[in-house]
Amino acid sequence: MSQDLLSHLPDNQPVAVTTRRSVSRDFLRPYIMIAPALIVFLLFFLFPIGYMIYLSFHEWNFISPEKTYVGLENFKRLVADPLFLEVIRNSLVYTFLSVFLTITISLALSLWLNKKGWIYSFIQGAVFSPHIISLVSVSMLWMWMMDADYGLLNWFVEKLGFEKVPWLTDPKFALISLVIVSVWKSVGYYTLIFIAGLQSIPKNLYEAASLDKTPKWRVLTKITLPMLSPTLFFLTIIGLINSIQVFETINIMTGGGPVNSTKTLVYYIYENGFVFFKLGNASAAGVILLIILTILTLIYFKVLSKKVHYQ
Amino acid sequence: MPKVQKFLNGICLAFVVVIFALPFVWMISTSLKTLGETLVFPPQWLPENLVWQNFLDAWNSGPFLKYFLNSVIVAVGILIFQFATVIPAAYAFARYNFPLKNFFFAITMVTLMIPAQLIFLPVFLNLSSWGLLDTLWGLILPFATSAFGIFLLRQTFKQVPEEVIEAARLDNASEWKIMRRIMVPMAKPTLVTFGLFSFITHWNDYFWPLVMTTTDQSRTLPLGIAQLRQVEGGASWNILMAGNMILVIPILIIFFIAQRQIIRAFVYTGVK
Amino acid sequence: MASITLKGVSKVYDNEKKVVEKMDLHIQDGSFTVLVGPSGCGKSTTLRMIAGFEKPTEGEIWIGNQLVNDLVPGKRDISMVFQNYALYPTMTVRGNIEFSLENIKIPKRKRKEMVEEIAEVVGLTEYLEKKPQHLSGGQRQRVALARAMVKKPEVFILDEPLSNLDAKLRGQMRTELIQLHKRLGTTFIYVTHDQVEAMSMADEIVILNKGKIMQQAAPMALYNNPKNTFVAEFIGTPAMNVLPFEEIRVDLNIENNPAITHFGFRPEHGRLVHSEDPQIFTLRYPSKIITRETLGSETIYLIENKLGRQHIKSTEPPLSEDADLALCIPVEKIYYFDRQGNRVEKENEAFPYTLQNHEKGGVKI
Repeated sequence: MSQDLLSHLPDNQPVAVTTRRSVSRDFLRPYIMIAPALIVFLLFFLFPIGYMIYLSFHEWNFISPEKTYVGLENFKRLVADPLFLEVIRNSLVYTFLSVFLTITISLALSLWLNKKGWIYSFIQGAVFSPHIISLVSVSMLWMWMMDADYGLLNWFVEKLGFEKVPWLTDPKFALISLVIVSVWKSVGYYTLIFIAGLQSIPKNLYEAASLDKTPKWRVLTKITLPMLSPTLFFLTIIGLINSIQVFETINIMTGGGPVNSTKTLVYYIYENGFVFFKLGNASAAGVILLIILTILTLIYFKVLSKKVHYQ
Repeated sequence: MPKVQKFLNGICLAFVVVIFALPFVWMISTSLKTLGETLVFPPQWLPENLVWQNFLDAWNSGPFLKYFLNSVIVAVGILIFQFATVIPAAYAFARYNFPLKNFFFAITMVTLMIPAQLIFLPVFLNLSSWGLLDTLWGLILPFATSAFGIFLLRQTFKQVPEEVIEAARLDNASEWKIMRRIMVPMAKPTLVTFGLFSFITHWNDYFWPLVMTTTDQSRTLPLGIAQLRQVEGGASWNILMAGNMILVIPILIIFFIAQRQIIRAFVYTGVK
Repeated sequence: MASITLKGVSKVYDNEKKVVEKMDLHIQDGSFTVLVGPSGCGKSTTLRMIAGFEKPTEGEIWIGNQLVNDLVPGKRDISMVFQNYALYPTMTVRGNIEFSLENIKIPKRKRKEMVEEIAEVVGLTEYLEKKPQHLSGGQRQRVALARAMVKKPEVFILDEPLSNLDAKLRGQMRTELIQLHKRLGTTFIYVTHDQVEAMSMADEIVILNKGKIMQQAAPMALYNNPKNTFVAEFIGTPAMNVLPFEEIRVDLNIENNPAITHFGFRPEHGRLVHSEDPQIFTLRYPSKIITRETLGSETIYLIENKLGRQHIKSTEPPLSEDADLALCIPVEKIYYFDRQGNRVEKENEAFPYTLQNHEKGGVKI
């Protein structure tokens, strides 16, 4: 700073004007900033939930102006409906199978693919790619692959020495086929999250273990899996929440058939609401889905707060 | 690694790639076949001649230009609305203290957990009574904000050192200017991440347009593609696959350009 | 230019923790005032209240002859250099310096002129189009300074601006800041926890502890006349040795005096002599060295004797650690403190009459 500073500074600039800022504007500002988002939440998320609960206690067919209060009648009817019970069974089977398979496969994949090098990052990308493809394309692609007569899958099946499988047209197989599609689509996504979890395990734990000459399987069971357990638990919940809502693949691939064998909860709501116009019934089923999701979400937040606590 | 083990590892890697890439290859191959070539067993791996006509046939079998434009308008429209609502809300939650803040943030977090599959029925009824059914507004407005985006961006805004904002306040910058000139540029990586996530999600979406539209006026591309199945004469797989290529290619191009950001965007949704 | 006055200012967080308590402070127009104190003493809070980032719970803050309690930071005509520089990371150096001018709507051409002038003054001309992350620590510091200077503020606040620099650069910047203050003549408020920085730069030092002003004075006045044990121990390295009075009371032949409980002497005033050296001091205690730090021009000893442990600083050649030594304390260099830690000065009526004799020198005749 060798030169005279003052000579370089302009003398007659109005540098600051002293005015008070309006207090009420300051006070209102955050509310104005969150208002648009909250209005959308209110109109399209919270109010509809309330409306759905309201409708579940009424009978309405959408056309008549009358909504008749029927108390718990809709729920009683649901429980007594053998189709609804089958729907619940289908949903649970689908959910548990796809979550179990996705988690197991992606955990194994992540332990294997969590390595450096372009080959591994390429494969990670490839495994992940189905996740960003529209469910429409995934469904139609697999319909084609699972085509009983000309499908690629049955060609493999025959090569392996089995008979052709009626993937989507036999009640015994249809739900399993949907599980396969779901696993194929989301296993890469889960794998990458597991890899992110693996990479956040402190390296020095492994260094300490190698100094102690710990055998590989003990490193896996005593260090890796326990350290990964928050991710594991979290992905399980997320998986359950996502799978219980399955709709698109069913709508495109099977339409709930054959013989209702792939009808699930959301499909049931859709059908009752949009095909049969039994809005009370559909809403009651919606409330049951709401209860399931709420329970899962509460567990999720419990785990999340614990996870935060650990860090 | 010993040589044998290395070899086995390579075989397994190749097997994994086959499982995840082969269906796509099969899709491309089918989309360029003649109808006859799709109806043989055992399947024919590659088409004799490349039948580009399939793409034109798929495109011309419905008002696909309309579908495509609708898809663009909906996905981009949602994106613009989301940026406009998410940025100020995230900023307020991250940087201001105000009465009932925690309550409003709790509402946001609850919304994060409500899927479209749960509320489509009552929203459908609302939209119909507001006359928004079967319009593009009905596809855009329910997603005009994003709880996930608010959550993500709030984290980013919170990480900006308080001093930078204080420096700007001393520099006579208005709150609006601080947000526009300092906070938003600093949050650019997060905004890109979130933008990719939002665009891909809504470009791909099938469920919401299926439920909320009834005519071609407001149908989007995924819906149009799905409808290809219902053309008379049954599904011809070469046309169907060509149609799906139209839907998949834009996403795959984006994926190749911004693979790392996209993976980050989607993995974020899991590790929040 | 403006003076700053705090009148009975308090800051309380969560209805409990008093960070600043009834502070009265006057910072003179054009002075270089350093607020110094240990972490948590309230110096940052005081600074942030002056800048307007925090509202005082009670009291008034005046800048010049304007009450600024309700004035937003941007309208207080203050510039600030932050500890971590707080540069706008997405803007170039030019953008950083220009930002405030832009906000007060100075025309573009004029802005360009002003930015380039300032850049030349701080030697940043060739870096104007670079982003802060491509600059070194010292250069970022200069950007922060330029950004603060370009507004030509009434008051310049510097919050530990040198703590992120390495030792050599820190020394250089210290000199530059002193020169800068001389040239600008603006009021500088400088916050640091480093008493060396405070001593070397300030016209006036304000020592804070637990939200209260311990003493406000010029550097040498603080050193020579600390008002309490806190200031005595805070200024100077190593700290002043503060010990119970009882032991030397007997040696000095003073009758029991309840007003004085502790005494202190600075490490540089104690003298280590060989035990066979002639006895010329009243207070002389056989001591042994526990540790010795040789710093080149001076040596710092930690010694032990019947008074306890003390630090002694000496510019003489280092003594052997196992030498047979004695500590001599010149009586005229001793400070006396009461039970609360406040200084008992010789004008005070509690000051022991017998000690007046020693004021001319510690040599026993």
